[in-house]
Amino acid sequence: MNPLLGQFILEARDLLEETSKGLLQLESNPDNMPVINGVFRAMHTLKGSSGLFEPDFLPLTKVAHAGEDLLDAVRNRELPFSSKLTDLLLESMDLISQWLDEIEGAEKLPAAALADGVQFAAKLRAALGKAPDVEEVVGKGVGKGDHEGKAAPSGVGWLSSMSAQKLAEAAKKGGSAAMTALCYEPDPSAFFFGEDPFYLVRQIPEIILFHMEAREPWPAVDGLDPYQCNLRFMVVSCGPLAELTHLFRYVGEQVQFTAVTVADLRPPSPAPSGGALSGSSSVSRTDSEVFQAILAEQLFILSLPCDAGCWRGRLVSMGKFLTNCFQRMGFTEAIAPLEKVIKESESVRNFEPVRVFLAPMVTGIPKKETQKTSLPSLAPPVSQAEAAAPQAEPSATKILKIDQSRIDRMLDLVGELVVAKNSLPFLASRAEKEYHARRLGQEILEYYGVINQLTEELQASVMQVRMLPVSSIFQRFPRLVRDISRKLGKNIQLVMEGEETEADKNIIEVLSDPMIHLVRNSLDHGIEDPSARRAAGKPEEGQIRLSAFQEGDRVIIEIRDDGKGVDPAVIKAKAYEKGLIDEERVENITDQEAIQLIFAPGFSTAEQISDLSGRGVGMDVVNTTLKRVGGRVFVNSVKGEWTLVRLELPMTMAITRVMLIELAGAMYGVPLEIVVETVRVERSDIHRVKQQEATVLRGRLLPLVRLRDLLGLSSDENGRREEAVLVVRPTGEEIGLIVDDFQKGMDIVLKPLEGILTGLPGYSGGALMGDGRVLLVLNLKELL
Amino acid sequence: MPIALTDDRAVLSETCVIEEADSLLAWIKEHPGGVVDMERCNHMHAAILQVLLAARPTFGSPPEDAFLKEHVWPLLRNP
Repeated sequence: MNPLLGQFILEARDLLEETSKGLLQLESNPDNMPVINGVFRAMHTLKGSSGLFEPDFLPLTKVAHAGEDLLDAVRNRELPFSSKLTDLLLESMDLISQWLDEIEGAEKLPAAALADGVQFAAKLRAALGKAPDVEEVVGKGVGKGDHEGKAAPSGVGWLSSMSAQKLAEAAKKGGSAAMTALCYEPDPSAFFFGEDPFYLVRQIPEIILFHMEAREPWPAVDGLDPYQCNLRFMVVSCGPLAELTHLFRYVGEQVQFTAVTVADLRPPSPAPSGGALSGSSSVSRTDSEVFQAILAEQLFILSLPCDAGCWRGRLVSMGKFLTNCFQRMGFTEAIAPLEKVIKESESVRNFEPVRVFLAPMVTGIPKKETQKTSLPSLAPPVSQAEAAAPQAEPSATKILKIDQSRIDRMLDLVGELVVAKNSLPFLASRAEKEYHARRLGQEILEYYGVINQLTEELQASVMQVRMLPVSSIFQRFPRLVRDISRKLGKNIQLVMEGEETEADKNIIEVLSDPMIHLVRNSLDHGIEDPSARRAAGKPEEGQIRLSAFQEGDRVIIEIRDDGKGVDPAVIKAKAYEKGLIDEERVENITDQEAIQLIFAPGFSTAEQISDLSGRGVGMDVVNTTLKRVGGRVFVNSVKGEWTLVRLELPMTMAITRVMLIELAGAMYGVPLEIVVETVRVERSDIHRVKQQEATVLRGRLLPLVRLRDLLGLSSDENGRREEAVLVVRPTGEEIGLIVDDFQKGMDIVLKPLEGILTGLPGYSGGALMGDGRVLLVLNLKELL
Repeated sequence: MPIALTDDRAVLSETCVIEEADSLLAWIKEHPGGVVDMERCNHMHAAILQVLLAARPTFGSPPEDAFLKEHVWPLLRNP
């Protein structure tokens, strides 16, 4: 596959993900502007990238374009956000996603795509209240091409902030010609797209007014990132609108065009009305504007939090400054009252008197919020922190996208290194014993120590690299819950916490299916429908809570719903019916134990295999899946109130220590953690008790199992006088495994079985040994 | 043309490309008294324009290029 295409698919999927996530957020929070903008931009980028592959991917571009236009209307507040809109947009995301799958396989869109695409785009556009494809007329790529300049006052807002001088000059140059005011705000990443906004602006014909400014206040030179575009260009041109829109056709949505006339170029009337100020006639209009701005600024400064040590200084300096201003403006009569107010502020130790004095003089509403400051507080300056925050963005952590197979390769190498290093102690011992080179032996051990240390650190690093946050699984749930709850007519809220909790990627991958099943269970059978909930006195909205957190070296995931819970009586009855428990058990089983029966193989009740939680994935599969990776699952519930399923997993597929045993000429591994001891037992000490063999070890009865039999291997031909017994404790009770022989312990990197061996019971995985042989590691919990 | 950076002047001439923005910024930081000479500059990438607007260095003679002289120069001098 052409690498450009591969890249497109990856990025497109990311964009779809971003869009879906954003849309779901907007459903509960429709006014969140940053999210709306984010979703819009994602659609815009998708449209642009897809456009590179025309004519092949034209349908995709069409749908993305329609989506973008829809979102544009939303963000301009021309169209309110609604659930229906979300549905429509999510549907289009799904369609595009399907197409991406198709492209990944066949490198082209399916035959029906064009028809589907056109139809879908029309549907989206219909939501806008526009006839389909009307933008085609204005020309592709013109985001806001339907600009028949609205002469709305807000459009020319920025004009009034231009200096009177500039406006006057512009008016003179423009005369009676038709003019267009344009405000161009390039995307902060414009430079990375290869754009030079300034070059674009230079090509504007017949400029009569030119202004540029910073969108966000410039950071200090040290923190300045020249590659983030922070410019805003404001230009008035007498050139034809068509030419202007054509010039900006590739960045259409970043430019606002407004038709203006020379009347709009008249400077705004001078400010001060009311208040104790009557200007002197020698003050020019520009000065008035500046003075107003200064007053507004002072007022703002007063509202900023202030250190205890600073407030007096601020007060005094402000007093001096304002006095000078008043003098310059000829408002001499205001100076004495000002002094009085300053003194008053000083005595009450707060800025209120000054604020009250100044406020009426400022006719414009200051753009920034003025918060009431009571006492000069020692609180850290919040508003300044907020202003500083956006500038922290540029230095984000660098992320690399890496192919998973490369990490796996690294892990393999680490594993082999771990095994290889283990031969050094033997070498040291041989040096001493066979070659009588004691010093050499010791030195080898020393170096072994160093290598050992480094290997362990390397191993830990690579394991760390493989860690993924559980959010990679959790992220699909908001959509899932939304779709299914709507389908079922239930009102369900999803709460997720601890998504940043990490675990090894293999573990995460294993978790995926069980979790989907469990959440669907809650949706399907757990949470009741609204009328049932009302009848039970519960809030109509049910809640499903997904929590992930770390406990020691385990990752715990809890799925909790406040639905109708599990009824122990029902479970007992079903289990009895299916012959999973006998009458005696039914009598003496506790409610707690009864609930756990849902994990018993063969338990899945017919009612649970609905089309949603069907596919043969029952609770018992959840159980076995977890056990396979060394995890466990528990369920707890209060009938009528809540159900909690708790998944416990190891955090890493760490290097496992195994004991090697020989069986029928082959080697197998047994995790050292369950091995209690190795012992050789005389034939004569082995007795038969009922069907089972057993022996007495230190006064206790130890049941014995012949591992060959358990694994279906041939029986041992050689009668032995002495059996090698590996005493293990897989689940609380000790049991002795009769094997052919024990070998040494070994460090291995346990990998789950793959391909056709996946799901083979009795084996927790395999490992590659130092000599290239494959070692199967037994899962005794499953075998016994 | 690449921006010529000396101890006391940064000379922008002809067209200055985006890649220069970083070095210009660094130069301005390290030469607080330095003069930015735009006299023979015809065009500069917006990134460079940004650097000049934000860093506010000292400027030399006005540019000869008509557009820069009429529209950009006043804003560089009095932001």
